Amino acid sequence: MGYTNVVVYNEGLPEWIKRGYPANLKQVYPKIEIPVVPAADLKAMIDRKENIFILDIRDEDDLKGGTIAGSRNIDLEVLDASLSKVPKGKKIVIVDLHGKQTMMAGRFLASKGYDNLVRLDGGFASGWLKEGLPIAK
Amino acid sequence: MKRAGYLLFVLWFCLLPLAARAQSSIPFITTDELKKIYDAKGDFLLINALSPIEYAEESIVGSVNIPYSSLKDGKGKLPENKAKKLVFYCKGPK
Repeated sequence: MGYTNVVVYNEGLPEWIKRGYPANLKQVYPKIEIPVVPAADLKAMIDRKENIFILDIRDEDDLKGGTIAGSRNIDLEVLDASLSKVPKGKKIVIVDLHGKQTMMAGRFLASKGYDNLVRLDGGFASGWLKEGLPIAK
Repeated sequence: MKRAGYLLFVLWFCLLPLAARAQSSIPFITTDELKKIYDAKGDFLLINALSPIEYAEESIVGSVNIPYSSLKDGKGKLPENKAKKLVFYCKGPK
C-alpha cells in the first residue's frame, strides 16, 4: 500500500474510554446480559446434539487457526448484511477470537429480534483452544 | 505488496496479547502519546479497524471506521498522501 508512517494504538479503545478521553459512546443496541458458556459445556451441548447454531464471527484469517466442527462463520463485519443466514428459534452460541466481541454481536442480534443467545467464554482461542478441545479445519 | 502485507500484519497484531507484542518491533503508540498528538491536532488519521456494528456504539471522537476486511480487499479508503501518519486502533490486548 506504500504507507510509511503506520502505528498501532495497541492499548486500544477500552483504555481510551477508561481514562475519560473524547469518545462517541452511544447505546445503539439493547443493554442486556448475554450469558457465557464455558467451552467444556459447549462441547457437551454439541455431543448431546442440542438444537444450537454456533455462530463464529471471526474473520477469515483467524479461521486459519481452526474452527469448531459444525459452526457457521459469518464475519462480524458482514453480520448485518447476512442475518438471513442466522436462524431464529434456535439457541445461538456466539464465538469470537478471545471473547471480546461476542457481547456487542449478541446485543446487535438482540436488536434484530434474537432472544436465545449465549457467548462462548474466552472465545475460540482463549476458551475452546485453551481447553484443548478438538478443532476442525 | 510487501508494505501491504506489513500493514495487514500490524492490524492483525493489535489483537494479540501483550506477551506477543513484547517480542515484536511493530511500532506502537501509547495512550499518553496518542493523547498528546490528539490534543495538538496533529496531522494524522485515526482509524478504527473494528466492524461497523462495534463502531456504531464506541469510537474515539474524530476517528474513521475502516474495518480490517475492507482494508484487505482494497475497499477501505485511505488517504492519498502515503506519508500521512496512520494510527490504527481496535479493542486492545486480550
